[in-house]
Amino acid sequence: MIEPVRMYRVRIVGSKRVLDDSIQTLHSLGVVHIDEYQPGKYKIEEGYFDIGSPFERASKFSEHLVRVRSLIAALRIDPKKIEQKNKINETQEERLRQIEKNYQAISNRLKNQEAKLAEIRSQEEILEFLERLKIRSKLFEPIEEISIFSGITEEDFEQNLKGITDKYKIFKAVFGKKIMFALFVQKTFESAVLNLLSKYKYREIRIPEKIDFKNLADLLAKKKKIGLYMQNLNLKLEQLKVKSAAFLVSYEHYLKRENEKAEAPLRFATTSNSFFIDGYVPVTNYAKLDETFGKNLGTKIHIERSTEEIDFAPTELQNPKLIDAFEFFLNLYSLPFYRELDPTFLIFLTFPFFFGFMLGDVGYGIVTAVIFLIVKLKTKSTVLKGLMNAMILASVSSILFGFVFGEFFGGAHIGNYYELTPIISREHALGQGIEATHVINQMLLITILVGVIHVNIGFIMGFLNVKRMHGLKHAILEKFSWIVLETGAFLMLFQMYNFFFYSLPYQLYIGSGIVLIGLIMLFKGHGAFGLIEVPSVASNVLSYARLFAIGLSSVALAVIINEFATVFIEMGGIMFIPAILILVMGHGINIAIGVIGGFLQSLRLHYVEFFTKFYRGGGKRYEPFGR
Amino acid sequence: MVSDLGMVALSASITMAAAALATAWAEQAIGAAAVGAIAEKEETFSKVLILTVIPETIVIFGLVVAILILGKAGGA
Repeated sequence: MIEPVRMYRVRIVGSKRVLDDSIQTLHSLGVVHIDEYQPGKYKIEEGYFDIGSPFERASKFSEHLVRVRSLIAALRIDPKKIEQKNKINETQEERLRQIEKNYQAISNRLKNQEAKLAEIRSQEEILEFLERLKIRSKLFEPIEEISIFSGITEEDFEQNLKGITDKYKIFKAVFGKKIMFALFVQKTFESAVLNLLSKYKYREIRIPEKIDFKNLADLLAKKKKIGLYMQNLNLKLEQLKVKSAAFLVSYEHYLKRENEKAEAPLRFATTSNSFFIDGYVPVTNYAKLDETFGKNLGTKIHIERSTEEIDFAPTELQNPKLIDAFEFFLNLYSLPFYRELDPTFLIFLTFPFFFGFMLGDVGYGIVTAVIFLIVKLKTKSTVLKGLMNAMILASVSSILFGFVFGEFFGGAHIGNYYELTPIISREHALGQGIEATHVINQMLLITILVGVIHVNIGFIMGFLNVKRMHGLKHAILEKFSWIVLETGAFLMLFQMYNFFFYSLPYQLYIGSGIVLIGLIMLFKGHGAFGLIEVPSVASNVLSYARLFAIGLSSVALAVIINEFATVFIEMGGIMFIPAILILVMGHGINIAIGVIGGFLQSLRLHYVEFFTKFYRGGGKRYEPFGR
Repeated sequence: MVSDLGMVALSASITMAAAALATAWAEQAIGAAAVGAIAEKEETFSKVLILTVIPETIVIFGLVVAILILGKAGGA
């Protein structure tokens, strides 16, 4: 739970004659994370090894893959919604070609019809043009000395036209918000007029001198016919989609896997006659790997495992159900390095605590829990599901803290039935006088105490991490030094502020001595940078005051909303409606702010204040070949 | 004539306002860069979001100091 899955480094060596069989075996096992070979990876072997070449069949698989994927895209198939029924075990050239042929036939016909439709539309426009302007197409017969403009502009331009010439003839009609016109003007002015028209967003409607199509009604009938035909074609396309979707999706799946296998040699080191696979396998799966290879290939292959040179092994987190929901936060940040500890369990403890501390309200907790539950049930994304699990736990913690702070939608009453008795009332902090000061001091003390504990857990984790990677001496100097430093500082502080009724003799001097020892250790461990870090730890601890501050702002908003609504309720009668509106909207917004704030701030306390004490991250994800 | 309590309240609010402005200033610079980063590479969203809230510590310090100042008023 607290550390990632243990791995062996495995090396598989064999003759190229068994390469294909080895890949098949490896793929069906699906447990080995291949560490890809790049030229120069092994210093000693340099010059002997080369990247393997893919099997010839790979080109066929990738060609089919391209064709299948283009069909899936063209038919708008959503692979997630398709159930894969029959497993496909071989290439199916014929069936693929058949589907392609059908698709081509239908889509060509569709394109034809679309072209026809476009032509009819332009004919329609011409007819409408002539109709509105009440002119005949004969007018558009070309004459040498005359330029003809016909079409649509955004606005009337005739005034400006007069600035160019007054020798023209124009027919105009209003067309929606635009102007339809036919303009006949002396050829010498052609470019000037065109210039003017372009300023009015001129779109040309070219009128043929002879119109060989009939009236509007005829065109409409034609259009309707084409529309029906196209509908029919689309229906056929839909049928094709339904008929071939399952095949295409499972074929794509098959091709992807086969292609992966056929191209696998690209990831191995090979010589002219042999191959060499370098990878990692979880310790628990090694026996199965060894056994299966023994059964399938016998002595034709050599497998070796080692627990050394394992620093760069991939990371696979292992956490029990419920806790694994919090792996989300590591995926968001960076996976731990193979040798590092996995802090998921600690996040599982502290994230809901922080969130609940900030959004501590029985009512709010119930509302958010229900919302997160609904999202969890509705969504299909596994990532979101995991996050929602974590958030539901956080909401439960919110409810629990609601009882501690005695808050139900900002007030202490649950209806008229039950009154919460707070252990500490955050609401009092909003008031004045001794009581407020008392609560504020108490809350600040609690949050800072939480900070001290959390940061120190971080240092302990750091101690363990450094010990695992670099040994005990480093761990003591780099991480334990902080704890020494803190102990000394607290001794001094307690003495100065008379915090405890009991104090050691010469406590101040002992404290400062311990601080000095801590500083020296720190300097030895981290160098001068360690000393620079000292004030930042103090600010880190103080940063936990946000647990109180953000909660307080949420309470203040809730109280204001309630008071505001009470004004309306007291008016009685119809004023209940605005009161309810204010309550629902106000608390809705406050919950949204509270959830976003609580989530981000809680996350931040982990990433910035907590993780910096021990976490390095940068691990590779365990992605076994064939899974 | 401003009373002592008034002066205390005023100094607390100035502390709060200055801290909030400082936070806003810091966050606007980070925020602008963050949006740029997201436009280039959408996966950076989560990391950048965290970076954006980092300066929020400043305003928390402001709050703590303001509360300490107000505490003086309560005690006086």
